[in-house]
Amino acid sequence: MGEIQSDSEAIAASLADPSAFGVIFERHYDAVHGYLQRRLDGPFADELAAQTFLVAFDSRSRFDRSRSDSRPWLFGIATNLARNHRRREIVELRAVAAMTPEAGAGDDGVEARIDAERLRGPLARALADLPTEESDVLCLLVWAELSQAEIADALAVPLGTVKSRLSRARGRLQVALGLLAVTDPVAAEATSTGGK
Amino acid sequence: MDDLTLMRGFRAERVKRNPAARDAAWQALTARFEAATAAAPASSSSAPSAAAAIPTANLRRRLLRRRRLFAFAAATAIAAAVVGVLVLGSGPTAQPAAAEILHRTAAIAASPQGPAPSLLPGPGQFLYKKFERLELKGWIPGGTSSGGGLMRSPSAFNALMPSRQEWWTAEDGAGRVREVAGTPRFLTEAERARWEAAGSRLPAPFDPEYQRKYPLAFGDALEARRGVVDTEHAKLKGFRFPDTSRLPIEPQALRHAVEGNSISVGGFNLMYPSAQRLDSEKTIAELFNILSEGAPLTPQLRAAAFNALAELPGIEVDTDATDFLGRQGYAVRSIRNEGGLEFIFDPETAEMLAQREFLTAPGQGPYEEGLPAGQTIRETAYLETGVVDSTHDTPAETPAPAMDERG
Repeated sequence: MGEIQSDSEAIAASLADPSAFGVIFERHYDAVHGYLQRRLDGPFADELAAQTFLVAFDSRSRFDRSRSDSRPWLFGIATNLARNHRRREIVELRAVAAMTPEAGAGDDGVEARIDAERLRGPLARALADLPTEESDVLCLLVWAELSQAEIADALAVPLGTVKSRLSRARGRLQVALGLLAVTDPVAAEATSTGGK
Repeated sequence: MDDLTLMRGFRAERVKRNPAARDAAWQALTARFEAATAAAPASSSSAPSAAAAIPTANLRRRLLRRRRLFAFAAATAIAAAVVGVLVLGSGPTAQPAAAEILHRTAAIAASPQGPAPSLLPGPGQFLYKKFERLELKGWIPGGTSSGGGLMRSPSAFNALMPSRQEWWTAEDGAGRVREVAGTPRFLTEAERARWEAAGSRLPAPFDPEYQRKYPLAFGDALEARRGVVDTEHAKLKGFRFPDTSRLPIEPQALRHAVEGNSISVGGFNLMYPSAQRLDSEKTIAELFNILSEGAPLTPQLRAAAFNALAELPGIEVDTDATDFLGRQGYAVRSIRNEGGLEFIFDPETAEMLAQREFLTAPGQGPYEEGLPAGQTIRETAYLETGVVDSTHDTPAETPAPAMDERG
């Protein structure tokens, strides 16, 4: 398979010779597994990473071969599979939130507020409370390191949808983490009530 | 430290290579390879090998190349036929050329009869946009929904979902969004009957169970109930409008700025952040963006965008277009790799009526399979735009300032 350069070519070749799909596994398993480890507990991440490649292999004839990189496609499959475990993901995130102190409680200074360890709990809680669509976009951006255009590809939604979901998700996270700069009464009111 | 940096570090310690899990995944996959090889009618009985893959891949590549050449020739012939009708004209009753129509529209846009310029809000003001959207959606009641594609789950419902939306946005991103759901337009009667039998539940975010599930998103809504979501939000860090005030208003210069991806206008060049140069397809998409989102959108800039579109290859004009609200107009259309995009405008006023994305071939991807060519994926019909003084005002209640008042 030395001649095969792109993911697209490997997938095309695998239609005639299934073993050619092994290149896709070799190239991307670790990244997909790592992404799922961020989202779910170990055994579930292991299982879903394996399933991702089985689903990808079974649906390889539908891969858009004008795309040379299969990462958005694979992460899209992984995200869809993880979605079925969203309830478990939320339970885990809430457990993290319960074990760590609140951020922004009392009159802490700026330094305390930006302390990552202190924000771990609120971050976990905020991620648990995000609508699934917004959580998916954020996780794909940060943990899968996809661009916004690749996320649009992965989720089969338009770029504008990705942008608006990302904007809303980040707004909510920033409010929940107390990172939103508040300088006017309207924003202060929104922040103090949790924002939307 | 911002939210994304925090998230990058969150649970980073959990990412560890797990050789046992990797081996198990590989074994499951190779078992699938063997099953697929055994099931293939033309396959040999021996296990596939890397050595055997090379000639197979070469042969397949040659076949693919021939197929692509044929497809290119066929597409060129079809395009030539289409261009013959829409661009060159054919006989006394033929439609005027696309370029001529666009140049004429540009002249109307620049004239006093053209649409009112859209403006950026100043301090304490909000950009108000009212539009209706029709979007292909799949949804699981009380759960997730897709935007712009089908959902294949047995418990999902799929339909074109209409909604009326009003957005108030301040210069720092703060504002209000009010969305009101319409009645889903199902692609088949059977799907409608199945949905009604299951309780006629609307997709997220219009479903009350979904709204209760995410109190952070909807707990403080101005209104959140079946079919209605009305929320206010605080300022957004790093937000800025796609300010078009520095764009050239000479058509060639505008085209070159867009092609060179050199327009440092948030919201436009962010579509293709890493591209050194945009091809004609992306240039057309960016010019459409300027026409739909540009602010300030002066008569001169609007005219330049129409004139620049007139000179681009691949543009078609349909003089018998109708948006999903039934308004008639002309559609300027770009057929892209991934589908079609069209803008419907009023030829008498140069006012943009709607923007539509649609399939140009029968759907094949997992989110489109079974849908016919021409199927609308998403359509936005523009109703009203203006600058207002509060999130509870609409332009009808706020007199529009003259352009020179805003500089």
